[in-house]
Amino acid sequence: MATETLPVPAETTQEKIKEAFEKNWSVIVWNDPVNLMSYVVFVFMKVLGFTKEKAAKHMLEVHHLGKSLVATESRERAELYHQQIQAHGLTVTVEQT
Amino acid sequence: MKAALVEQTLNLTLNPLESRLLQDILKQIIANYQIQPGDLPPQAGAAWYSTRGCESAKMSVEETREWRQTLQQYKSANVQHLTQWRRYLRVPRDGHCQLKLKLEDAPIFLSALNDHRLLRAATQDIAQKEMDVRSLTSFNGLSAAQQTALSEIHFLAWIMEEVLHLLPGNPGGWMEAI
Repeated sequence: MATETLPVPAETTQEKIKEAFEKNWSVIVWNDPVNLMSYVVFVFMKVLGFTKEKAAKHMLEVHHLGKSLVATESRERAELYHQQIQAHGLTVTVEQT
Repeated sequence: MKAALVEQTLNLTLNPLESRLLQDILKQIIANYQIQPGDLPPQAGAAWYSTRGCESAKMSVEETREWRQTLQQYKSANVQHLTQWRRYLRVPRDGHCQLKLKLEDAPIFLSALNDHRLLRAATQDIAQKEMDVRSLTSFNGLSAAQQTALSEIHFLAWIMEEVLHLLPGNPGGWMEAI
């Protein structure tokens, strides 16, 4: 049986590498009526490493505007934040920008 | 309930009624953490294992299934801690029960109490309107099941607030930061 080497799809590989590392995934936390304001601050400090000031600012955005963009990261990092934030009971989505 | 931080240990002192209530709640959390996401009542499953973020991340069905599984494993891994804490609460001393938590375990404790709040709100249709109830008249207007759930939600919020004030960085004191 004849064998044929297929050409390496260079562009596709490059696109995949770019997609994996490009920081174009937004992590958005949404408001809900149950989570405590101070608990949300705690989660932002613990998971995202925010200072209390920054955590409070984002928590108030969630509270007053209904949502806050808390990070823009690579897909892998964004999915990690997604899992960690949801594990703490907050409503979170990840969207490609 | 009184909370104090002694070196790296959080000491929660509860009266017998508070202790009994917290024991019952921990028992429910322990049971619910061991249930697979698909076997929980739909509202409870949606509260703890919402796939909204998976959908927005364009995760495949298989990725979403694994993601939910990982989340359930994360919760069930905390059952041992919760069981131990529940056991501590059974032993009163001088008319009070004391729960000692290592500071490093405080996030597990907080997440577990918060999960119960979310689950009770979801299963009893407690939304913003019910959360905002402040008068006895409005409270009496709720169903008995909602009254119980709302009482548990506020009881746990009280414990959480006390603990949050004692954690490094004092997240409970966020108002000082703005």
